[in-house]
Amino acid sequence: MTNPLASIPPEGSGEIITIEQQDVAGLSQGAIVRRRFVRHVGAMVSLAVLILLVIVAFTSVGFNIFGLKIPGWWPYDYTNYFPIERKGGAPTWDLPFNFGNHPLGQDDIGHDVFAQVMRGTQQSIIIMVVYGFVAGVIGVVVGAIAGFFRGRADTLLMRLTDVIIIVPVVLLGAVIGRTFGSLGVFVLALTLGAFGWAVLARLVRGEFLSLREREFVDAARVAGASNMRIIFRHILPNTAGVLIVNISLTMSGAILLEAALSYLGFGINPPDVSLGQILSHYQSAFATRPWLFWWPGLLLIIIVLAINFIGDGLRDAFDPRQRRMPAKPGPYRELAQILGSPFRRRGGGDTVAADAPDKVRD
Amino acid sequence: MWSYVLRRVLIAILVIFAASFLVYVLAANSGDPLEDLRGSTAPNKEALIAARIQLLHLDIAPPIRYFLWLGGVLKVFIGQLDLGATLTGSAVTTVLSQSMWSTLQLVSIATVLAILFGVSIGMISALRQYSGFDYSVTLIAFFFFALPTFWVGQLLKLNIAIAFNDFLADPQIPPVVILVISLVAAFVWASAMGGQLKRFAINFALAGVLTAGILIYTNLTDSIRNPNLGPIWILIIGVAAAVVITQLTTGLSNRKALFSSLTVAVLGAALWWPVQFAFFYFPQWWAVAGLAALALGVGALVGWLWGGNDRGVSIRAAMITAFISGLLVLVDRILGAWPDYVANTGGRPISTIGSETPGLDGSIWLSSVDSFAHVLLPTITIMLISLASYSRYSRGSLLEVMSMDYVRTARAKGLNERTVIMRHAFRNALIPIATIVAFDLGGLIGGAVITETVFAWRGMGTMFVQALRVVDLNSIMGVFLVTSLFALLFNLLADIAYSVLDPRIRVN
Repeated sequence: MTNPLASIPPEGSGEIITIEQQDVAGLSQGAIVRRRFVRHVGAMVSLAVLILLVIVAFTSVGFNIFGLKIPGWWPYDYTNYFPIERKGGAPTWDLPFNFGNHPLGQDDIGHDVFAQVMRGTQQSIIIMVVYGFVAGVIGVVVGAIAGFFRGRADTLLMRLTDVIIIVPVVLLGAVIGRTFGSLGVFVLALTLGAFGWAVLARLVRGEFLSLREREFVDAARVAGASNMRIIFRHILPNTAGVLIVNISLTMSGAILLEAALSYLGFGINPPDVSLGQILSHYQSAFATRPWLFWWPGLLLIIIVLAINFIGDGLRDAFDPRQRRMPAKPGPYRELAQILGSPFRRRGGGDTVAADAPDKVRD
Repeated sequence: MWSYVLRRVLIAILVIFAASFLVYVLAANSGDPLEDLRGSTAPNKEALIAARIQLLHLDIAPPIRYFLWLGGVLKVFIGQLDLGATLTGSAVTTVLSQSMWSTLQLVSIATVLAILFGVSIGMISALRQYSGFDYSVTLIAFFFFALPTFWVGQLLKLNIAIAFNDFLADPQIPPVVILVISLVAAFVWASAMGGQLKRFAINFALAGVLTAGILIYTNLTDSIRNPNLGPIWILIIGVAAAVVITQLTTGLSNRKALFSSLTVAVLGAALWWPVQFAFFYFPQWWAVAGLAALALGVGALVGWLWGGNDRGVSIRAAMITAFISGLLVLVDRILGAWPDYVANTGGRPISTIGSETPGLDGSIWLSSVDSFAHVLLPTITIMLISLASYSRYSRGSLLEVMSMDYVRTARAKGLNERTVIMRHAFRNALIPIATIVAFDLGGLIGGAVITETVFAWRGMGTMFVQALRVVDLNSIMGVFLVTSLFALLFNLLADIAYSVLDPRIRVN
């Protein structure tokens, strides 16, 4: 066990190479971040799950791109109904591998639940990406301009942000969903995103306010860089950590928002399907047909959980305060030592990640 | 300070004007308020449509109609607030005042509980950083973050409530459940207490045996069917509370504070019998409030008598204990109405719909149980998710404070760990939490929409959803006005609280 304080070199003695420095010696900032991210088990597992989910969701039931319909490999689609195979539409999946025709079951009139939840997953993912993109771009631009130019532009833009923040998200979302929900998932995500940037803008502004006072900005200005160049090439990359983390949280929030709106009936309208809508549509049938309740809920939770874990991994990777410190000895370690410790790791280098500041949830 | 508040309020008013205009125009364009009439088959359809157009001024374009609505709102300054009429013609102010009360009731209980539990859990997990407790809390919080509110609500409503009601028909806790609960409780207690293997094992065994004992006792006495505490349990819990409170506020070495709170706990149990008469002859809320004030007064007096030359500390400990003892006596009385209530609801007491049983006539105790049975599930739904975020915030906040120089100084000058944590760290860690709580409260008022819809709670959320379905513009705007006023008020409070609590921050 090394004393954590001993590993911080005194000012000016660059010669001493500590364990942390060995870890990152000769690596660029990007490589350090990548490395830390890859080490975060939860984030890597979540990334794998999410990618798998995206592939399955989009290839299974196919999708519609600019009017061009690309069919999927799943034999049933989510709008038509099929003869009910088992009593009440119960799942035909016999453990472990005998899937049958409708492995996740059918509803009372014969819709295939697998096709429906896959379509719902698609919708959630589209919402997440489009909303994240729109809210991210607007939030960054507004926050950057307000924080960089300050003065009148700042006052004006921040009052505009206040106007949007003051309206509870669900209320504003419901009004927007009631208006644009029938136009399909893209339009819904775009319009929701157009009102979802306020929290992000505040954060970006805060970052810009402190970064614009730093020396490298003066240096860039002396070198003759234009305002736009300073904003986008010099300051913005320095906010990448805060930005990526908060956009990932915005994205998971967007999925839950869409699900909630569809549940209230102000989101995606039938005949199209979304996870929240399935949960709303069949809510009286859950006692008799629990598979209509568990599958959409489970998928929602998995997607949101995966994104939150990825966001957490990114935060740890970007956090400069992140350092490795020895774990405290606890009862489990003592027990393991008494038992002759088959779990003991090599050396005394048991480490755990230092705690990072907690995330802001909007 | 006041000029700052005044400036903030002026800006807030402008922001509200802009936001309400935005919502008004958006909501007006979201649908057709005449839709139900256009599809109707009534012979006087045309007249009905004309009447509604006239009532709601639908012939005026929304951006201009907004100013009519605004004029009604501004009448608040001459004492005649007018938020317009709903589609059916009743005044929005009447409907809104009822539903606002209902929402506040729901949200306030849930918030208070979420803060209490969330902050304690978060702080314990910060004090036991990287322990099993900390990792479990982190993992569970992550999971709760990902839960959709409506899904949790439905799960509680459609599965848990039914299962629990079934259980209540024959309330014997099965041995397997006793075992599992005891093991979990043992783990939680032992991890939270900390310490090395020996202490951990002792705490684990103690907590496990104690929990199992209580559960078996519950089974043997059939306490779920006939729950009551009685003076003996009030004494036991009261004494335990007295010890814990003294330990937390002053430390057990302060004998005067300890004896004050113990005296109050014993008094609480002793006064159980006379208070029953008071409850019997005056079953009104003012009587309960009077007794509560009396309890606090007795607590203060006992603290003062024991106190010696450091009275304030003893008085504080004794008053907190008095509050808890008094609460126990009240809970005991309300629990007494439980069998009656179960009989009244056909043996299925935990309700999934609405905020009260229609047509239930009885004492305030019975209606208290009724409110409890209705508020339980929605409260859990709202709580679970805010609990997760509060526990994360307070964990981060306390960790940050614990690494401050003044905490090291406090330790270095030889203060014991309790004083360092409770006096130096805990209070400072509460500052950022206070502001987050204030901010959240503003949002919660509007955020209860989904929970209310799931549980058919007749609050502002349900009112909003129903109004939006039929584009009842005035109702929508009424709900919006209340929620945004709350949000602004609490934002302002958050900022002021920050500057009051943390002298390093200047509001100007």
